[in-house]
Amino acid sequence: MIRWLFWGIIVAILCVLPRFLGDYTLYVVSLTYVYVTVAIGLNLTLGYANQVSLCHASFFGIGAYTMGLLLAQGWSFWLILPLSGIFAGLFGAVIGFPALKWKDHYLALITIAINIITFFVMMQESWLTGGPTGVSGITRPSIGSLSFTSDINYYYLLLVLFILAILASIWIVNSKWGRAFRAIGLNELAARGHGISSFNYKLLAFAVGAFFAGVGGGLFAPLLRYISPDAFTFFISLEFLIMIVIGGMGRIEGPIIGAIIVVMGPEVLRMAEAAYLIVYSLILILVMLFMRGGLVIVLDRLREAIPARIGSRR
Amino acid sequence: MANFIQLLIGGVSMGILYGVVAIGFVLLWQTSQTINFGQGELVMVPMFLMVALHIVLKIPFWPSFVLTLLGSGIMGYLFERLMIRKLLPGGVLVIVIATLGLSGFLRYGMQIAWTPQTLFFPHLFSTKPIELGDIIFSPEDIWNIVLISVIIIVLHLCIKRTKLGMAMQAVAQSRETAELMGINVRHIITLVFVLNSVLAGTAAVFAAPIFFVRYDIGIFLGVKAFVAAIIGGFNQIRGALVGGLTVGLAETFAAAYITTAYRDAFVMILLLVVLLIKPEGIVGIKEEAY
Amino acid sequence: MLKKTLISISILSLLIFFSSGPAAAAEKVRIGVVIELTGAGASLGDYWTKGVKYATKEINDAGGILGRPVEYKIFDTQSKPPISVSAVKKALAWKPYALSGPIYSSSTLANMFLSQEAKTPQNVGSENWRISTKGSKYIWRTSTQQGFEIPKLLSFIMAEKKPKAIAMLHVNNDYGIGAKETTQKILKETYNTKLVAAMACEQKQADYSAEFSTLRRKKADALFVYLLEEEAAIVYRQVRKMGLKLVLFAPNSGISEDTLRLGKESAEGVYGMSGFEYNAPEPNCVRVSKWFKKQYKEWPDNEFMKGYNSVYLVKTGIEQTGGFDKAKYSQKMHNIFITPKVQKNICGGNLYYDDVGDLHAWDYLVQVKWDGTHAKPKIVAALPPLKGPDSSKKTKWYEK
Repeated sequence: MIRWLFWGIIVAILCVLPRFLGDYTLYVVSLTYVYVTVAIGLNLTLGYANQVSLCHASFFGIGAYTMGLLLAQGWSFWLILPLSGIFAGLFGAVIGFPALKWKDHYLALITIAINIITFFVMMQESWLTGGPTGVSGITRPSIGSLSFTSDINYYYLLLVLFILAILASIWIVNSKWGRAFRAIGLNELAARGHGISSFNYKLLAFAVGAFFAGVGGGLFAPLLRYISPDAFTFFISLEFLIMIVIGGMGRIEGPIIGAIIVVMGPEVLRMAEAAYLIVYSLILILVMLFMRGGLVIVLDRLREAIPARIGSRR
Repeated sequence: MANFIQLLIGGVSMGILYGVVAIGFVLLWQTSQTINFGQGELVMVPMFLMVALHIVLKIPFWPSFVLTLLGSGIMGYLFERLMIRKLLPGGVLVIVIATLGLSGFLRYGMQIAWTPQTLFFPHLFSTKPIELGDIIFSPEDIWNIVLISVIIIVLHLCIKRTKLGMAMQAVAQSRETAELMGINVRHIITLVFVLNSVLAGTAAVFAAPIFFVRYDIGIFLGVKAFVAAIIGGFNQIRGALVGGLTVGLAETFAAAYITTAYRDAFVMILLLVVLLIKPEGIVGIKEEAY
Repeated sequence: MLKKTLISISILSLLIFFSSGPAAAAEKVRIGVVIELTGAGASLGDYWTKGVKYATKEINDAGGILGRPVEYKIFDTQSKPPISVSAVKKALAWKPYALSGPIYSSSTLANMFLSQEAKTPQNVGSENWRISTKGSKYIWRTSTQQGFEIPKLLSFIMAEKKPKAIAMLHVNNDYGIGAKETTQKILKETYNTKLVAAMACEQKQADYSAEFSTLRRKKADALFVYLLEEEAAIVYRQVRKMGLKLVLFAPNSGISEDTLRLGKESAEGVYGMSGFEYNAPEPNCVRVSKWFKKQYKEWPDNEFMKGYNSVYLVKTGIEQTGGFDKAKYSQKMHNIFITPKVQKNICGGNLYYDDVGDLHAWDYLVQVKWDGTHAKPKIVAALPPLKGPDSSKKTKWYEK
């Protein structure tokens, strides 16, 4: 009950947030929602099923380009959004095949290579992707008379989909799929022993993870109203990885905390001007040295500590 | 044919540079399962050190070179003692992320502390082109190839023949067994980090006249060396060298005969092909790990 | 444990602190400098910001713009288009009167719609021709775009050097690909010929043996080096190293101070064109360059003058409007002929802005000379603009 109240308050705060934010801050929060969606996907692939993916920026990019290019063809946003996810998911399933054979650093390298190749395709195949110029003039959707063109309205759209993404991830984690992912992640042989088809579930882990990233991409394109290959480099994949590791892998809260830190971190540190990238890198090292389980562990301890105090007062 | 030889020289002179940086990767991986994403920055920092000593302070070449290698060694030592030693128990991913942080820290640190500009570095060797019939080549490329080869051969002999080198090999094969044999594994790992930095420092001095000195060159060299290490074989020093040469040659020949537009992507496709056909790398040995 | 909690609490409180809204605009002329502070364009961005800084100081020392002091704030694009979009958003949230930068064309193409929507003047350093086709009334260039620069440069090379086979190296991004398209078009339409080879190069590429082997095979005798500063310098060095005999010519990135500082003696003989040179026969260029040399112990790159002008353009616009209405500013600053009489400090002599914000000005054709310690651009000729009041004037020769 208290838990529901807590989440209700959070959602209420997020709903009234735009009233208190400037244009730019609103944009940063919107961007955080998009990145959380992608990070949730990576968390399913890597955090739960333990399949390293360093090409989530490719999935993200496929979603964004699907949206940008099909919108230009006059398709409806509401039709393209699921398509963005599905295209990315199908691509993810294909990428999943190498994962059947390799693990850890080899899989990391394969996915890095895939990211770099998709980046070059986006750069060079101008007939399809617009090349380095990218796709501009991307429009925002509307339902009937309700238009999401303004930043605030699009914020609310993103908020709704953000909450849906979190609920979906909770549902997946607690479903048969989620249990299978964790079983494979912990011990593949044992999972097989229990009759879990590692073949199907590994592909599925990639496909589902990529689906979330694709949907994230589909939401990203109208947010920026412009996409170019630079937004989907291997370094962006690393950012997603950093998000879930800082936040806490294999935890629902992990990608949320991580995305907030990674997207908003440079904004908070902007007082240091050009130095923020240094501070940001330093934080990365410090978290790895002293808070390896991710920041979610701090939350856990707080959660444990607070009721204990209340209890002792009684 | 002249064309072919020309491209060969170009490709090898680049490739051997990638190779020498990749050797460091391989050494780190073998002895401590460290994937160092800051490898490129370990080349970048000595480049600036060399400029500081040789150009700004006008110290003659050889003393600057020795001091640069010394500085690199100290950097490697600190890198291991302050970071890697604490992170090793956390596994590969933790190290990957921490070294990414290190890479950013050094890169932007150098930019703020010194300059965002690219700095000049003079040629080390004569640049008067040598003509042999149709083939024109530059002494710089040939010297680079010869000198780096000598360094690699010396390194190889040290690892194969000296006691310390054998201890290194023992640690690479099995840390537990090495410990039982009375080898101080900690010291060996520290030593490898120092060695890696010194190698990177050497590469820096050869690379500086070719690339000039810029704070963001590390990403470029780091990724190339990384790919070279995988293509050649992550668990063999020979592999790193073969990988480096393969990458250098593939880039050059693909750009000359296929298209320049996909120069960098072509190397990645090669990487995928190698990983799919022979994941242990061209000369690598199968590990149980995958 | 406590420490960790404290750390996380302080991070959270910083976040909350940050989310307080922007402060109210003071009575200052704010200029949001959206520029390449980090990443591949960091060096250029550094020159640009120094230009902005100097111009701001100069204007404020002389009493500001219509009595209001100028204030600027820097926003880093990291040389990446998506980040440049958020940088412009961030800058606009600060409620500036005008924006200055970015330099990279891909960044400008990505973020220019924002200044258009916010009806905020943006003075950019980009040269890609597509920028002027987007229909924005709030974008101005600080240098000649490639669509006007390349024909001028080619007309000189074709007339004076008469090359038989021209090849081109271009950087593999908007700036380079745009130039390749323009060059191919002009060669075909005006000279009825074509490039024997157009090769894309990556940033940070250091080995050009593949490109050079193609040059030899195609028997090229002239090479158009359309690369960024560092790569251009590397190419000059390699051309000398491999003993290739070619007429080298380049846009302003290929003869800028940043390139020559690196290329040194290997840049000898390269032809290039630029609107701003520190040794140009134009008093303001010389004046600001001398200041730069005194301050930073080296000659400035043309990006310094462009950054400097980006602030003076705002001054000109406001003074011409006689107030701070941005829509009127936009009207005034199109089809305007800015002479030293209109704005005495602005660099480059007579500047004409047409109806899409394209700059038409005199460009200097230079050849690089090595004097034993420095490679210096030597002014060969001043070529008149293709449009505007000065377009009927003749080429001024300084050396033939």
